[in-house]
Amino acid sequence: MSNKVQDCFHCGESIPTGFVDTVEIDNKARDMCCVGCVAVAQAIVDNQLTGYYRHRSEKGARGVELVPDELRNLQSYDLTEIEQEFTYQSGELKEVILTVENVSCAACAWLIERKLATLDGVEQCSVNTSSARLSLKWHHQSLKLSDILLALAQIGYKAYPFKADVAEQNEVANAKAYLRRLTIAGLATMQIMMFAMASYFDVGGASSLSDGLEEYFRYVSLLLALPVVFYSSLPFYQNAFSALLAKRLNMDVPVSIAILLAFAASAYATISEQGDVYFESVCMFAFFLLLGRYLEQAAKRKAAQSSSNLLRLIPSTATLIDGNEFSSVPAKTLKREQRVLVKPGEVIPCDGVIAVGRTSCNEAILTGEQLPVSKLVDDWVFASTINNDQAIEVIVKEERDQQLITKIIDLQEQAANDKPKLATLADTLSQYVVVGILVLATATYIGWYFVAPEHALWNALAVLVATCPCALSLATPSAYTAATTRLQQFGLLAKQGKTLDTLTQIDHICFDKTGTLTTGEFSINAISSERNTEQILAIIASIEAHSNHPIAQAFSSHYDATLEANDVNTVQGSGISAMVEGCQYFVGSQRFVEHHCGTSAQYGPREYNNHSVVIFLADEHTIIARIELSDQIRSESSALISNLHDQAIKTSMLTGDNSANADYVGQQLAIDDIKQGQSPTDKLNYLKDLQQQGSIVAMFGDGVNDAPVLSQAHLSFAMGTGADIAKSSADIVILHNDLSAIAKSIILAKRTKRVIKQNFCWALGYNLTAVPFAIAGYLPPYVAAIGMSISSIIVVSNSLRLLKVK
Amino acid sequence: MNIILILIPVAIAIIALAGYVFIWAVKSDQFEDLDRQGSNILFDDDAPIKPDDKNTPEK
Repeated sequence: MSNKVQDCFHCGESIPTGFVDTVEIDNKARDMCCVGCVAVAQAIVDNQLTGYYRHRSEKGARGVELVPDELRNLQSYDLTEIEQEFTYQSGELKEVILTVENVSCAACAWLIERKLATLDGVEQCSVNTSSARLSLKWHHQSLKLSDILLALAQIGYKAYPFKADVAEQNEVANAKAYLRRLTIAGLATMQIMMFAMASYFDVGGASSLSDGLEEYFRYVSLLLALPVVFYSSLPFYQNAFSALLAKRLNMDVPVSIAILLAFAASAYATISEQGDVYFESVCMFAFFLLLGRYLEQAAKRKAAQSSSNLLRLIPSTATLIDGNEFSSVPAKTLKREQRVLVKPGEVIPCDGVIAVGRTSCNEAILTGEQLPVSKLVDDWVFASTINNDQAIEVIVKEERDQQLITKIIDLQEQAANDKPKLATLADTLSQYVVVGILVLATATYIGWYFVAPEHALWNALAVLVATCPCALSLATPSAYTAATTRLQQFGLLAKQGKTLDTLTQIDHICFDKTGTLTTGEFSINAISSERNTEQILAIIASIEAHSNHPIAQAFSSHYDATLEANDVNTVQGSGISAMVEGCQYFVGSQRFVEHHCGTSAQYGPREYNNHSVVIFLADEHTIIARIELSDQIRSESSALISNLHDQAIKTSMLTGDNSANADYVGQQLAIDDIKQGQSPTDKLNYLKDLQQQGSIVAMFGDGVNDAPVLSQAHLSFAMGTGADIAKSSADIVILHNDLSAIAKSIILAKRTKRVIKQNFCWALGYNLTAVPFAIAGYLPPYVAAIGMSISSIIVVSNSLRLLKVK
Repeated sequence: MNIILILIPVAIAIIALAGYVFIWAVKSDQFEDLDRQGSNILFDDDAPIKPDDKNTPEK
């Protein structure tokens, strides 16, 4: 902790050289790393909420100052049509659930609740730290939603409305129901076990229980078993029934048969006062299974919540021009031939043609390519792309349902419906188990019927209890739950445990290029210059800080607060010029700088590596530096591809990019098949062809253009920074964009499969050993109960080993 | 042993009560956020500590 002095007190990041500012917190001056953190910390102090700093267990997120654009964005949440999408009215009050970024500990929750409580009009607010959600009720008349969001931003939290994943809506109700069923089963089982114990000790025949008491115990057990059989176990019957309706067999079929038959026979035994009762086995069986289901449900729900939190609802608004009037309207209400104004940096709200102005657009969301496309009057622009340079006026040509982006989404929905389904190991196995159990029980009954009819029913029942597929039904869910938890620690969010089973079967993987195999951002490849490179980069960074071109981003890490650029002048599509420390500089294409300073002869002819972009820095007299930039291949990509090839998995790259860079990336990574210039439909057809040839295909992608393919693939991965639709189509979201986690996840999936097989072997082995004794009539109820619990515990412990897979 | 005949119904009644209380707790969202409520007691709801408070924990 020696470097503590240099670290920001608020966010824990190191303080850049040259920045000195402190905030007095609890009477101590604390160093801060940036204006953002200073503002946030000061707001916390001013609101007398410094308790946050005393109790937090993790550092805060780096403070960011709200730029005017973001403020305007916040205000557009107040538009009635937009607000209605995610709030609902309850009497006088409005209610909303927001997802909050960077809520890491209880102190954050406290801070947010205390801050919001100071606002007039907030009726109720509570923060859930495990789901990172804020639920809010407020008086709509006296307080705007944007003011609440602004108050949160002041103390350093960004909150967004979100689209709840369909999966999540189901899981919430389900998880609660399972918790109730589980508890009822637990409470009843404990009681029944108590009575069962009493009769176990009576087994030797030393009649410590008088006959009347024994009967009494049986009736009480019957009473207590009722809620377990007819309330707690309902989901098993429902699943079994719907499987049978669809003419399939699943694990719930033998489970339901075992519970219902064993209960019915025990009830019959109680009333007719003969034979054994198995109430404790039935209840314990139901309890263990519910426990497994509940844990599985909880893991699924957590995943569903995390993935919904990624689907932020960013308001899509448009500035409508009506004569001389400008008004802000929701984008979805735009009509054909209306005219809208799009300022630089804004998202274009519609498909249309430019009426006034020239600019360049970032169409990465549709094509995956970062380099801006230049647009003149009468050129088409597309909804969801970003206007880079100048304000333009656009005439709406397509309404929402005909827009390019809507068409891609439709394609994705179609693909999601045809997604091929693969049977899992458990499904296949359950077929045999059901048949086996029923055959054995019937055979026992028939066999004994000829030998000693009075034992036939009881011994057939003993077989049914002995073959109770308790451990067997826990084998898969417990392994999947442990494995998805481990996956999340790797930074992969799996929406379903089943995907792991698919992962082991994959034999072909398709990748998108930009944003997936590459970072999707430009970075500096090489600099050739006679001067100090650090100094050059700092100069360029200070100039490029005024530009929002994707290339400018590459220099931001070299920004030095002491250098300031003045008289900045952007020439669209060529370069940028500015005064830095009294000297005129030009940054841009070769033609641009040559035009200003003469020659670039010393840097040779224009012989570039055609997979990169080259820019120059010049002053008024001479060229100073030549800088090569490219969309860098992710450092983990090449290790991942060679790892996949080692496992005999084929690779393809499907990219919308038609330039030489696609070839370069493909060759660098030694990808088997490279397809360039692919439209979303081309990608989809390529994948369908592979599937028809019998390949099990996985797809990696990040853009809207990848969404249809992601839905169609047997298994799909989306980058965490990708488009919402890509993330919601994908089975697994790569949270930190770290591809190296994939290789680990394949190992984990294989281990999971092995653990599941071990579990099956053990569970079946136990059942098969018990069967001969049950058939022979030598399996007293307590042995059946103990055996079942022990084998279930062994199976669950075995699955938990997956939490430690490296 | 007759006492058992009475005690068991009493036990069942208590179990039923426990079940009811639990269901109520689930319904009122008390199991929604298990991480947080435990540390909630640490936070003071009143004004910030006095300047001369020597017990300010260092972070």
